[in-house]
Amino acid sequence: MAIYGTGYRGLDYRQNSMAARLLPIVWGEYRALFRRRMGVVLFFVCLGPALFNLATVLLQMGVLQIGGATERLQQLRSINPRMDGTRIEFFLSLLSEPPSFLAFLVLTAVVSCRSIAKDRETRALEIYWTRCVEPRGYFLAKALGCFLLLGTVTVAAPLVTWVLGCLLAPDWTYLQATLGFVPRVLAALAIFTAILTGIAVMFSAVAGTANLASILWFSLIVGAAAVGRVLARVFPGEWWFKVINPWDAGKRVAEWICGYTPVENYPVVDAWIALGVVIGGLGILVVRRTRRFEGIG
Amino acid sequence: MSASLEFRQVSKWYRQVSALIEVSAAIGPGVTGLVGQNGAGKTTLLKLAAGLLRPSLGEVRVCGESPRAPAARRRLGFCPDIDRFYEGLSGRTFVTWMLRLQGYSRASAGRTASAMLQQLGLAHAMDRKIAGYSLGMRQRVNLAQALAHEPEVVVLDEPLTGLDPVARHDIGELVRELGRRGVVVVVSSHVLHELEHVADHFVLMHQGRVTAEGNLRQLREQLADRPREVMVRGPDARGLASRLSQIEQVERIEIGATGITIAVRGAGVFEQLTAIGAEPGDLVHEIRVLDDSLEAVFGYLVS
Amino acid sequence: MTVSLTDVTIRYGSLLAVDSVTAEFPLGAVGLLGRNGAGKSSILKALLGLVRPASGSLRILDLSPLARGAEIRRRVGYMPEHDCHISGLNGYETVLLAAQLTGLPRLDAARRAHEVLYLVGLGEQRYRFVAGYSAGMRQKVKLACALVHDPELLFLDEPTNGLDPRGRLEMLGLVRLLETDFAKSVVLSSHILQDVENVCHSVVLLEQGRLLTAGPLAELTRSTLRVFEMECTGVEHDVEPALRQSGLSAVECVGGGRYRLTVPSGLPMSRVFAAVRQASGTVRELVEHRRTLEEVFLGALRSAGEEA
Repeated sequence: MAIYGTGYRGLDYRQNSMAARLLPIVWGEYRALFRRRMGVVLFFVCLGPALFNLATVLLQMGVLQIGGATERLQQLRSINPRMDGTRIEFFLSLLSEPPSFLAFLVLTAVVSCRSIAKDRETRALEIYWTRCVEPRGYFLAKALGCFLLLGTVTVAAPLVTWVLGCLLAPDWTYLQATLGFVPRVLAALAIFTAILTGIAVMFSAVAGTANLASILWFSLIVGAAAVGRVLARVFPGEWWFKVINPWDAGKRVAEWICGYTPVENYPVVDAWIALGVVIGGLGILVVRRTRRFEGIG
Repeated sequence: MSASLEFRQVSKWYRQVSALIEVSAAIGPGVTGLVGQNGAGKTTLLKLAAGLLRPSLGEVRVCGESPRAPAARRRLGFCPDIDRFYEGLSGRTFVTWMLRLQGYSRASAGRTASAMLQQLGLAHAMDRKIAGYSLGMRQRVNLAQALAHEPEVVVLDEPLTGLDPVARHDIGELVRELGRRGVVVVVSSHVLHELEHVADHFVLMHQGRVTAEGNLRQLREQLADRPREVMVRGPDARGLASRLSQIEQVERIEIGATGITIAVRGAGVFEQLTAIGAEPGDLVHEIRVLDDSLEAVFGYLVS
Repeated sequence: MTVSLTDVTIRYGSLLAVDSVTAEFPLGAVGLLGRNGAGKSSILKALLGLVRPASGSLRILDLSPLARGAEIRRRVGYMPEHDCHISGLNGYETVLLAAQLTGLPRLDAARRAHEVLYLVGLGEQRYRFVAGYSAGMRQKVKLACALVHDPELLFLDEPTNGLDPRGRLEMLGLVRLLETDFAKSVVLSSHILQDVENVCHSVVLLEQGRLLTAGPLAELTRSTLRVFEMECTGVEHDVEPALRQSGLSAVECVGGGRYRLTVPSGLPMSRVFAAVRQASGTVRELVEHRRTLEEVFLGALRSAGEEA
């Protein structure tokens, strides 16, 4: 039964700026994962590696006391710089270790790859295009929302870890030891996240369905990485094969920004070129695919 | 056994939700329109007729047999409210398969399918994949699979959804023709003024029950005791209005821009209007009954 | 005029969607009719500034869509035909987002979303996910999104799709209300011609990208002769000769007590009544025959087909 209750009234308003109009898209994309319980669980699972780092720092500071863990940690610290909260490797571990790699991959697949493709599936693009937002703005807003979500895991969590470490340390040694590189590391992580999120969102803009976008993403990262490693084994000395997948290329770029020299020290230029090719190619596809008139059937 | 569709005290519920409550109806040859709000039970009723559902209580009989019996299935055609088929097949292949399922031989299935599709206006498109069909073409394929095997009972669930005016007209004609040929046709639709032109007999449903049944005249008569609205027009509005107010069955008079609207109750009004019209003063130019349409009748019956 | 098209041609690659159409949509409710593929949606897209015509010019609300697209989209509400929704949002959030995308400030948008949802008749269901809505509820959300920013002009594409009889009446009533009481212009595109007849004052009819006919409904549906349809009781055998003798130009018995009468000018209608009375019958209905919009539509298509 319809209720034509309050009747229709006119409306007077001053139109918001373009940025204010796009903000709900950013915020909506950020919140999309948390609407469902599985999403919340997934988020916290992906936060696992970062939480592990946090626990390591807390153990190191002596704030957290667990059975034989502190001694074990002491031992590991001398062998493996990755376990030492004052070393750059500790912060860059996010880029090299399988658990955080997997976490990033899955989170990106669930969030960034779905972002635009889902809208295309439910024909929501028609709603967006017939309002006062431009496709470019829409794309950037979506990408920003995804970046902020992924960044919570890759940038905000290490930042919190570092700040807590500084605050909880018995003296200022922690701060002194880490201040030299931590800001650059965080910037590098942010840029890394932005590049990879951008690639995932571009897949989302190109693919017809969310699932297809996720498949493309997995294929590119995992598939190219696997192929690259095999080929690098077969042709030793040819770094190209290591760099064809965006994750490794992005990692090399991030390490370069921090001024960190990795074990496999191949030229950064290779990495930039590889990334440029992927982004450029996808970019062309995106421009061709998101023509506005497609929105209305 | 002559063609007929019967529901005998049929009730259907899904777990706790009751869809139909003691529905009894006997539908014979001709076109019968099925009308009701969403949730009234129309689709459930049609699916029961097609044998897709089993009644929780009561029986459904298609030409005297259960709709699930193969013999009954052969005599029934069902056009459901869907727009997706086997997208990778061509229209002709799809209808041919459906005919093979009915027991046609390979050769005759192909011939019959082509003939049916041609009759429905898909001659040029029948070999294209269904994935490329527009909504109107899909609906024609849907009808083709329902009618190709020349069933005696045809059940159509919203056959005109999404169709353009030409297609609506053509398919309306097709349905009327089927009714004239003696096929038992049951059509459900929300667009009541269209259904009025296609069907002669109506079944009105509300909240799982049949609230009324009959042709339009019979349905109107069920509401004989409610006031009806009649619009009368003539060159001298005021003079006409004062004459009309003298009719005792007139309960209310309203003079508007388009004419004089009177609310009348009881019999004998039209005799008096005819008498007034026949007077030399040429008072009455138009008489129009405002709420005699299926739409109006349905509105009254469910409110 | 709210909308005027001058010699507009729209191509998608090699496909010619709209071919040199010149038309004007007056204020009020206009019906945009045509078969599938006639070019209606292409014209709507062009008017919203989403597609560039190959040639010709469009003006909507006295603005050019290509130059001032965003402003036009602020003043126009579009209700699409297809099922479109943003996944994961409920009805209220969808309308709220639509409002914010048009530039309403947050508080205005929230208040307005609720108001408009009451207007279209979506009560408590507004807090459920749109993905789970019935067809009628989806239509209401789409209409709410089209109205939330108080547009001057509404494009409604098949607004009664999937609605049950009461829903249809409500929707059409709402459209009429918006047009008469709130001075909004409406462009209604529908395949159900009787709806268009009930709501619109004029129509524009397209076929295969070309303009077939356009104009006020009153003119298009006017019969050239004064033809009346009558329903009366009484034995046909008696009534028909009585009518013929009463001075009518032509009497046609349609069946079921209905007759089609051609009345020459100058003949008083009382002769018709008297004739029926004389045959012991009663006139139950006497209406001037107008061509229905369906007849206009099919007739126009037929003559276009013959010319082709």
